[in-house]
Amino acid sequence: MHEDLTEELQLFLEDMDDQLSIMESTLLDILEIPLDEVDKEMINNLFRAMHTMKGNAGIFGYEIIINFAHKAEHLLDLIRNDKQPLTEELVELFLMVKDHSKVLVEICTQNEDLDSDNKEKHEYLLSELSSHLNTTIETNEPLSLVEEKKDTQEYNIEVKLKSDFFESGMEMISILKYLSVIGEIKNLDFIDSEIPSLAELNPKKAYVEFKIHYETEEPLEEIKEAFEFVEEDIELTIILIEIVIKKEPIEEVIIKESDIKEFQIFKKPKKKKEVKNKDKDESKKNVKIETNMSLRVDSSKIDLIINQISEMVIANAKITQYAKEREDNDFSEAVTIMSDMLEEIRDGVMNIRMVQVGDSFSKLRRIVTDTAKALNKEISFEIIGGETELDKIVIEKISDPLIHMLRNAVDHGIETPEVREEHNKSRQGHIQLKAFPDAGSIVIQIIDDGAGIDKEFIYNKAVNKNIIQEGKILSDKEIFDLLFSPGFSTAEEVSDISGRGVGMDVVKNNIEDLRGNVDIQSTFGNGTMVTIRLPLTLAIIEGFLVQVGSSKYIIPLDNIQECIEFTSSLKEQFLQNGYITLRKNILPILDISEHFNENPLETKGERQNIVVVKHGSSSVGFKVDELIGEFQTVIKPLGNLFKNTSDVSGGTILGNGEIALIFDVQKLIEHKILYKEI
Amino acid sequence: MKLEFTEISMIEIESFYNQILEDINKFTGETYTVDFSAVEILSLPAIQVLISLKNYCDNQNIKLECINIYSNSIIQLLETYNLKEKLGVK
Repeated sequence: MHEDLTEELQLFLEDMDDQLSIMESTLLDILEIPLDEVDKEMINNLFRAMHTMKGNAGIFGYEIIINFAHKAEHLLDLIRNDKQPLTEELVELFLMVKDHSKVLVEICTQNEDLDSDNKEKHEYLLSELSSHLNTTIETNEPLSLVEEKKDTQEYNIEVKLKSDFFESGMEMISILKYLSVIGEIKNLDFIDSEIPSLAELNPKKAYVEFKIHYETEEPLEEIKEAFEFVEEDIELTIILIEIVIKKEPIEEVIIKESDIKEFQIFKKPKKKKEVKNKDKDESKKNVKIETNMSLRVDSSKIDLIINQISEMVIANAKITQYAKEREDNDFSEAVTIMSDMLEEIRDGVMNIRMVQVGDSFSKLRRIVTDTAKALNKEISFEIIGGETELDKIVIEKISDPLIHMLRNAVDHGIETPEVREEHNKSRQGHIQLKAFPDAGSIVIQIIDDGAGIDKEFIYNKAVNKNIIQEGKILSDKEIFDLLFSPGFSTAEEVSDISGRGVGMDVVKNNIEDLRGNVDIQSTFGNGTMVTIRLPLTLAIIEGFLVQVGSSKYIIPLDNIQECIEFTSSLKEQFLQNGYITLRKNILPILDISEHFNENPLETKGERQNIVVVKHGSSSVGFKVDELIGEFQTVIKPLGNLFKNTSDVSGGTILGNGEIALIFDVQKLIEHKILYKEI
Repeated sequence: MKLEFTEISMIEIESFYNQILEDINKFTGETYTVDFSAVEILSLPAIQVLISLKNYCDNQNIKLECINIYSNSIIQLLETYNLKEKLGVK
């Protein structure tokens, strides 16, 4: 969507998105508890988010955001200082402020103007914020006096532009404008002595530096934040001017500039008040240092590294095979060490992509709250397992399906308070969004205690829509799966909330595109549970290499339960029934050579094998010719030529250059069980 | 010299620089004027070129004048950097 933006602007957008998310989740938390239980930290969170947004906007000179955020920040400042009581009306106002801030960010980054509707909203919100600001403060002191009590500090700021500064796309003037918003530039020296003669000048290189005498009430971190987006493109020195207040005029203590390297801050001796607050300041400082430990990196850079590591994994497989063939112990040992290290690097890089699902889930709370409000339903929403980690791409792609299913849960699942009371349920319905790891996958569940799904109704609807033939016997799972049929909608009336007649089939397709699956379980009258199972990551899998006919195939290791010998008695059972009995359980067998039209190998009395695989609650045995062993593999997409091949999820290149197809176990199991090859 | 650019950013900077360089090398008068009437946006790279031009003019005993600056953003820029006087802004 924003591919044409500069890296800095992308970072700006991501950071604004983070701040807006913090605002939203905090406001929703506040809405769920009595107002007198709202603690200071919640208001501080809101204040910090608004303050950061103002700062970020200032760096890019987005004045409309600066002014808007400034008012909201001011009001939050009054609330956190008990100068203004927090009311439900104000919480609703801040939710609108948050929504509108998102609009402002969009229009600013797209260089557009507000349309008439948004302009009207902008003015309305500004006037609402102003009206609360004007009716504040049960204090004898006017606001201006309260503000004046803050300490102002003076700084000398030196900014030397590195020669490639202009390539950052940032303008110094924007940074200076922002500094003017949070403080006062008392003097600015434009140092141009390094600019070469006209003939020798490279106009794309930066040669100048700035010496700024600056005064602000804001903390030092705030000044540093002004340079956040260009910190790699400048040499920055910020010096706190030591001020000794005597009867004489202010005296500046001169600091030896030769002592200053990259970034040094000289602190003035603490006044009594400051010494008292030392511990507090130190803890703040520590928090800041911790924050600085994180690094925001363009995800495409990580993708590039992952791709390169993927290629290394393939190359390493080739070297490993070569080492085996040479029977050279030293060489084999070196290869083993290299393989282990490569695995560590791979896991480390893959781990960078892993993010907690909680942040993404929090955004969904608003969907539930708003939808419930629109439908006059009372719903509590609970997130469990927010700390569960999943590949960032998977999280991004799963977001829309989750929104759709949550809306369905609110719209079709949870009953109105009156209906719930009639059914002896509490007026308030409950929706749980749960994430947890399970056997190499991540499971996400949406569980509601609503009306559940009426199987008979679904069945009849499917018959009426000619999706199934009347009289066909279906299992519960098959009936619930009808909900994922294209064009199936159970809504009696199509609404804006859900039930548009499209959606659940798209939801299923989106999840399957991620190599996941979705399953519905429901008890009529009691509630519904939607279970989504997703792979941890999309790029590399641990596989098990098998030989079938002249080809090699890879079975994802997470799906394998066991390998058993295909004994003559089992063969007999298979030939008679198409399945075998394994520990008193019926196990359907899929003959892979037959399924993929391979000529089976002549095994000459050697052992034949069954690989027992499982997906969800279903198990099937794959009959293969030879078990080769575990194999770490990189999934390569098959391209358009194979787009209609449904039983393989990708391919990979083996060490010897051979290509092996990776089984889509879910599809193969479905094929065996649903289409009843047995 | 009348500038035809409406904006002089990193995209236009090389072209701007080459024009200035070529023009000043041919110049033989006493006052070299740069007409900004068409220019609405000026960037720091362009200011560096102008300062270098100013240094060149000083060495050659040429008076530099930047005239017809109508754009508020350029005026603000030059005021912020304290360069109005230095660049002979009229």
